[in-house]
Amino acid sequence: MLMPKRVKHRKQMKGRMGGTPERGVKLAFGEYGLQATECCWLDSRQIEAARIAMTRYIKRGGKIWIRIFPDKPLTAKPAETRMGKGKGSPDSWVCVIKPGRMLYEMEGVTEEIAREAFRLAAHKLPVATKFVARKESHEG
Amino acid sequence: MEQKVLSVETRDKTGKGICRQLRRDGFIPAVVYGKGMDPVPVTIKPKELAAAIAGEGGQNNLITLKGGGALDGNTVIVADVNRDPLKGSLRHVDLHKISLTDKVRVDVSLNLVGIAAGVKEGGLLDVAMHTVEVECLPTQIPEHIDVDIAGLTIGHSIHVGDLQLPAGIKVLDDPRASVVSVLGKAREEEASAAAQPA
Repeated sequence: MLMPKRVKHRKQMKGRMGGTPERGVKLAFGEYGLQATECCWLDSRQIEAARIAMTRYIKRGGKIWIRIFPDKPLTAKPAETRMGKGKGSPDSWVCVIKPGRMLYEMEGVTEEIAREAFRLAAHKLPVATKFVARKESHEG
Repeated sequence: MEQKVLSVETRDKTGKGICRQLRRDGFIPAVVYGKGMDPVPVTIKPKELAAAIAGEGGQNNLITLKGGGALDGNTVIVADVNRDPLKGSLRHVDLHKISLTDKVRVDVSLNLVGIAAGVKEGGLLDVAMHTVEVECLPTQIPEHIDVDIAGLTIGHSIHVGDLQLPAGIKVLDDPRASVVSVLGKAREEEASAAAQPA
């Protein structure tokens, strides 16, 4: 599961997911990509589940890049605990996704296989996505 | 490299307010800058710009400006394009005024020719670079650089230094950087199959 090795502060505030990302919106490595069209928090388990779904489908036939990293800690309080007594303890790691963010990239497979692999992966994600290919992506 | 014509209109106001207004009205805010001149904010029509950067040359097409007072007749290339990440529509364009006698630095796309021998054996083609940065005269900018990968076998790479370049063109990227390689998938599978008990 993806998580930072070391962080400066154990707990963070929620923050807001406004605007569009300036970076990480273009295909940088592969021929095909999966791009988010909404904002959300993607947690490390969802990122891993989507990766496994597409890796199993392409059967080691291609190469996959994960373009996102969950570096934001979420906290949670234990079950059956009264409110108060301070913020909960770190529970999981999420990545803040804004519309347009490239989530995964792939190469070394045909377009049909890439489309199907990304379709399976998208079912594991709590965000609407779209398929992009280098030949139709907006370079530059 | 193709020579295109683009109509521009200078504008006095700058800033996000006027730029948003221009986009709402169907125009693209842009700026023209270059050696020996102050930056000039201009307005262009999206369809004209799309036509100017169409074709294989793309952003490296030489564009002759039409209108815009003192800018009329100047040659520019597209230095930077800002697009909406989802729609792909143009938001802003930087036009770099160039002299046809001075060298420019541009990114040129690489065109892979042939099917690698290693891929036929079951290897995976790993394209590490899709463009290279070159320095040349504006009239010598190639539309693309062909990379012959037919002889590429598993475990081997073509590096920047191996590229066959037209005369007068200098590559600025590290000559030791890998452009394309074939990864040895077939060998890995054979090894894993041999390791598994029958």
